[in-house]
Amino acid sequence: MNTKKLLIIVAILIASLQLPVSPVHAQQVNLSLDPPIVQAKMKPGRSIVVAYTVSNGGDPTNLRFLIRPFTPTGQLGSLSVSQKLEGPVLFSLENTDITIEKPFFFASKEKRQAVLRISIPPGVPDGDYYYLLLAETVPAFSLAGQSTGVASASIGSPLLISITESGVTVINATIAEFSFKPDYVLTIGNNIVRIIDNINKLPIVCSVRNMGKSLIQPQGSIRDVNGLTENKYDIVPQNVLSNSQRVIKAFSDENNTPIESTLVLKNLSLGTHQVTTEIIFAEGTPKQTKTISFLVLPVRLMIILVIVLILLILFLAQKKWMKNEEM
Amino acid sequence: MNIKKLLIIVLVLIASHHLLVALSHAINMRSDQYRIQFGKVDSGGGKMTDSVDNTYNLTSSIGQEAAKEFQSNGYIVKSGFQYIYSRIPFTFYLSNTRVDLGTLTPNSPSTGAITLKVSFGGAGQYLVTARADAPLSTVQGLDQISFTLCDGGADTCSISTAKVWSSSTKYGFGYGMAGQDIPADFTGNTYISTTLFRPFANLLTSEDAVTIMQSGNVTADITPTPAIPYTPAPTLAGVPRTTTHQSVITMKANISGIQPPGTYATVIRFLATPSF
Repeated sequence: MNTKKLLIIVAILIASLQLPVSPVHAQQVNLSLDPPIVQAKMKPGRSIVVAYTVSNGGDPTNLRFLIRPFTPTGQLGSLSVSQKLEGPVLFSLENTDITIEKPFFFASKEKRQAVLRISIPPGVPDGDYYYLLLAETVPAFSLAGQSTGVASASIGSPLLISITESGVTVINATIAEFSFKPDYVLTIGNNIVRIIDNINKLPIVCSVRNMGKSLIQPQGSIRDVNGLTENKYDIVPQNVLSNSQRVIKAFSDENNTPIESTLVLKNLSLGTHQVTTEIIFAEGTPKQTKTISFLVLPVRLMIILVIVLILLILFLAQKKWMKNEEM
Repeated sequence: MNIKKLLIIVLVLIASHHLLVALSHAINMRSDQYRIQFGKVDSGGGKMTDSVDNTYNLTSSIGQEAAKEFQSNGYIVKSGFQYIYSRIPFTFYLSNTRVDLGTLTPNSPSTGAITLKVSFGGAGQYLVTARADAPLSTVQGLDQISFTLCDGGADTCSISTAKVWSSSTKYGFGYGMAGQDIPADFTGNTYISTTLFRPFANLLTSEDAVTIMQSGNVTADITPTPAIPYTPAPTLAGVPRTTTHQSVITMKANISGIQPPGTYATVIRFLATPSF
C-alpha cells in the first residue's frame, strides 16, 4: 500500500468520526402534552374547539388519541379512568389526517396538534362531565423467543366540562376536615391539651367536600398565630370535583409536603399556636372558618433534663449513703 | 516525514478526537408551547401570592365580566393551571418499552427494569398508574404465569400492598418500585435491590389501574408574572423544587418446573396525567 492510499483511508476514517452520531437506545418513550388541563363551562347546544400539542422526544412510535371519562377517587387527587368513551358530550378531531382511536406514525422530534371539537347536544342536563384526552403509544410485539413485558405509555390531560343553561352554579361545599396529629395529649379535667415537640414537623390536613353538581375551586388561607407572630399560607386554588372530597394544598417552602397533607409547619416557636383556615368556595359564597390549637414544648429536652436530674439525685444520694457508711 | 511518523500523528489525532467527544450536550428545556389562557374565568378570583418569595401575583377576572361573556358566547374556556406559570411542559418518559425476562428457568427468578420520569413543571400535582392487560400468557393464550402473591402467609401481597417476595419456590409475575414518589409500601427498596413486590392490577378481572407514582408538591420553580406596564421581574428567592421525578419499576417472573414451555408476554399500560 502506498502513502497516498494510506492517507486517503486515514482521511476517510477521520471524516467518518466527524459525522453526527445519534446514540442508539432501546425503544424510549418521551411524550409531552400541552395544555395539561382544560376547563370549559358550556351551554347545551354549543361547541368549542381546543387545540392540544403532543411532542415526541423519544423514538418513533405509533400513537393514538383517545377520550375517556374519569371519576375522582379517594381524596388525594387520584382518578379512575373508564375503558370506553361514554356520556352525553360529543368529541371529534378537526384534523384531516388523524382521528380519535386510530393509530398514526409519530416520528422522533415531531410535534402534532390535535384539534378537538367538543359539542354539547341540546337538552343535556346541567352538571359536570369529566374526561381525559389521552395520547397512547401502541405496543409493538416482537418476542424473539423471550418472555417479555411490553409497555404502553399514555399521557393524559384532564378535560373538565361544566354544562349549565343559565350560567349559574349552585355551590354546596364544606370543610370536611381540618386536623393534625399531636405528639402527646394531656387531659386536665374537661380540658384536652394537644402537645407538639418543638423539634418535630407538624403536618396539617385540610379537606374540602363538594356535594354540589359543579366543581369548585376553594380559595383562602391558613394562618398560624403564636403570640404576636403570624404566618400566613395561601391555599392553592385546585379543583374539587362534584360529589368528591379532596385534601387541598397550601403554598409553602416545604419541599416534601406529603401527598396526604395540606401543609407542613416546621421550626415551631414555643407556646400556644392557633391555626385557622378561612376558605371561600366561589365568589359571593360565605367564608367558612375552622380553628385548631396546640401547645409547643421542648418535650425531648425536658425528658433529657428530668433523666439527668434523676441520675444526679441518685448519684448524690448514693454518695451521701456511702459517706454515712464510712462514718 | 516518513510514513511511520505520519501514522503516529494520525493515531494521536484520532485518540484525541475520541477523548473530546465525551463533551456533554445541553438539553434545550425551553418550550414556547406552554400557555395559560384564563383571561376570563367563571369563578374564584382574588390575588394569589406565592408565600415562598412573594413574586408570584396573579389576579383573575371574575364575576360580571365572565357572566356577560358566558351569556353572549355560551361558553368560557380556560387551559393550564391558574397557579402555575411554567415553561416546562408535562412530560412522561419510559427508558424502554420492552422488559425482556429472557428464557425463564424454574425456581430461578428473572427480572427486568424500566425507568419512569415525569417532568411536571406545568402541573402541580401528577400521578402515574399501571395495569396489565392480562397475566403473562403464551401467544395462543392457553398457558399463563399468574400474578404473584409474594412469599405468602404474612407476606401475601396484593395490588395495593407490597410484600417480600424472595423465595425461589414462590411463583408468579409482579413488580417492585424504587425511587421518588412511589407508594409507601415499597419503602425499603433501592434501585439496586428490590425485595418488595406487588402483582399488577389486571384488566381481565376489571381491576382499576393502581397509582405507582404520585406527587402533590406544587412547583415553586416559577416565573414571576410581570406587572403591566412592564417592570423588571424580581429575583426569585424561594426554594426551587425539582420538576423532574423518577423511579424504577422492576418486573419479576418466577416459574415452577411444571410451567408449560413457551414464549410468554403481556402489555403493561402506564398512564401519566396531571391531577385535576
